Parts: sequence; structure tokens; C-alpha cells
Amino acid sequence: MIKRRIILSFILILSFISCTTPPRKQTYINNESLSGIKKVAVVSSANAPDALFSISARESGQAVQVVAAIFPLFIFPMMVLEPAARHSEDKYHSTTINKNVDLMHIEDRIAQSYVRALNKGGIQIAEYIKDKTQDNRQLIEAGYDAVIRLLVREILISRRPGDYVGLNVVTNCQILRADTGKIILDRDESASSSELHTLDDYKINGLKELNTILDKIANNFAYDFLYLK
Amino acid sequence: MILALTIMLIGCSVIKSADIPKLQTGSPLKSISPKVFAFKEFKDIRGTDPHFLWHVGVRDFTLDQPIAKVVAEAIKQEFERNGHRCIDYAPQSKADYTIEGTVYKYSLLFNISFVTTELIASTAVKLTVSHTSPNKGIFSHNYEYESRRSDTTGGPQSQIDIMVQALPSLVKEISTDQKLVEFLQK
Repeated sequence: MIKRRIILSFILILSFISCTTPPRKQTYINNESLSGIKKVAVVSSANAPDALFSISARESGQAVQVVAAIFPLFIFPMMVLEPAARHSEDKYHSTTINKNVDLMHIEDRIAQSYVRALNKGGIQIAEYIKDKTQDNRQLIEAGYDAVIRLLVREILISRRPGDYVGLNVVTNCQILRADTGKIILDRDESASSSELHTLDDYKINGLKELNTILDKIANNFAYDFLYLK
Repeated sequence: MILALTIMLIGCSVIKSADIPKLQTGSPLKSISPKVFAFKEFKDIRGTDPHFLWHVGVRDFTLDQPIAKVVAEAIKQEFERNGHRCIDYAPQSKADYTIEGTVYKYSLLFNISFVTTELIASTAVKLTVSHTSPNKGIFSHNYEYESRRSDTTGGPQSQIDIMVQALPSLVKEISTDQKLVEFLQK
């Protein structure tokens, strides 16, 4: 009886410990790590947008909890079926929205904004390398002092109050120094849209504020180079 | 069972402002020649206790200092990190600009579905920057930052993590605002 209570207590404790991925470790630039860098290659990539509209809906989640409370035997099947159904619905939303999304445009936009911001300031030559087959070794052999990789890791369309949605974008920037082979910057930058739209609006008209968000993120990354020297 | 419930209910629910990380990213505030900013006492118009952050079950999560004071301190530190000097406002203080702030959002919201909890850290401050010379204008803007994170339970540690990161992100909105920089460069 005591053993069962101890086991149940542990289960209860563990159920309240958050099961989540710990935040990614960030590496920040300092002025020493930038010394001598005059010519940089900028490479970009992007992941397709994801809709998180259905999975974050509160009202239906509460209804399921009520059903599960009345019919406890349904708890475990509901825990599997309900999120699966929502995930499937969101996958449909994502597929529809992505018909209007050009990933290559996103990659071009973030890289070109970043290069423009860098070339305004201290970096004399920042070049956008569109050829994604070139790896770091090849770029270093081509004479670049550093290789900068921009990854638009997440473009999330998530629920806002009411039936509106907004955009959240998370981008990673990694800078590799050619002479030492060390990564001197590896951090994320995120930005959200200030405008609200319906999901249908995004499906019909595309992700309107995405360019503004990408420009903001690119500038914030460039500020590390320009103002941390 | 009692031990488990006790662990749920007690535990550290006062967050130390010293644990809030400082920004380490670049800011265009550095491009402005060194200025002196006089900070008036920031107001908190959230309509709650000045230390209050969020409430879960029977627990209140609070900050060890008033939120408005911590926000003001964080903004001062960011200006100083970028080469400027910050002083407390007094009628006779010699400063280039006066800064006033009003915190109107600083909370944690929960978006709960059956197996996922989305945590939404919501922060906002209205900042007004006035040149001490007359007729040189006033700059005022509402800065807001919202961050979202989903996990299976949205437990206390996740809540604390997202809220602790919220303030530096809000300060970054201010320190990377080109319109503010343009005003300060006039």
C-alpha cells in the first residue's frame, strides 16, 4: 500500500515537471571575435511555414476535458486522437498557405536585407551566395574571412484572440571564422507581426507582413557586426 | 501524496530581478554620440500589485522588485551598455533627454488544449523621450513584445524561463528602434 502511494506520488510529481526541450544555447559575438574580418559569404535557407491554428484552440480543448472527466475511460484514446485530428487540420491549413509561399524568395529576402545592412556599415564586402551546394570549406578556399549562415527556422501562423492569427518568425544566424574554424556567433532572433489577419486572409493573399519581419530580423543580426566591434 | 501536493504548492514563486539576463546583441544606440538621459520614475498601470507577474492555481508568481522599477533599470542598463549615461531625474539635473515610461502589460497567459499548453509572455511599455532643450521635440512610442512557447504541461520552470526572457526582448525592441535612433540623432 505504501509502495503504491510512493509510486503514485512520483507519477504526480513527474506529471507536473514540464516536458519540454530546454532553450538552445546561444553564442554571442564580442569585438575580439570580429577582428580582421573583411570579406564574408552569406548563405541562407528557410523552412516552410507551419500553421498552429487548430492545435492551439482553447474552446475545443476544454470540451474534450469535460468529456474525459465524465467518461474517464476515454482519456487515453482522446489524448491520442484529439491532437492527431488537430494536427491533421493544421497540416491542411499549412499546405494551403504554402501554395502562396515562395521559399526561395524568403531566402533571398533575408540574405539580401542582411547584406545590405552589413555593407552600409563596417563590412566592406558582404556577398550573398545563392549557390547552396557550396560548403564552408569551398567558401573559405574562395577567400572569405567568414561564412554566415542564416536559417529561417520557423514561420509559425499561430492563434491570436478571437479567430485571428499572427506570424511569428524565428531565424538563426551562425558565423564561422575561416582562420580558426570556430563558430563566433550562433544565436536566434525572433519577431512577430503586429497586424492580425484571419487564416483565410493568409490563404488567399499570402503572408503579408513576412517581408517586414525578415527585414527587421536581418537588421538585428547585422547590428551585432556593426555595433559590437 | 501529501508530499507531492506540497511540492506542487510551495517552491520558489519569487523571481529575482538579478536573474533576468542582460542583452548581448548589437544596438544602433551605439551609433549616437554619448548622451545623458534623465529617467523619471516609471509608472505601472496594470491595475495589479506592483510585484505581481502571473497566477497559477494557488500560486502567485512575483518579482522581488516592482515591475516598473525593473523595466526602467533594464532600459537604463541598455543605454549605458551602448555608451550613454543615465541619471535619476531631478529638476536641476543636467541631461540631454528626459525619459518617462508607463508599463501597461507584463503578464503570462495560457492557451490550453488537451495535451499542449502554449505560454504567452506579454510585455509592453510606453516610452516618452523629451529633449531638454525646448522646441526640439518629443518622441513617444508603445513598445510591445510577445513570445510564445508550447510544451506538454507548461509547468513552473517553463513559465519562469519564458517570463525571464521577456524583459530583455522588450528592451531590444527599444534599443533597435530606428525611429528612436533617428530622433536621438537630430
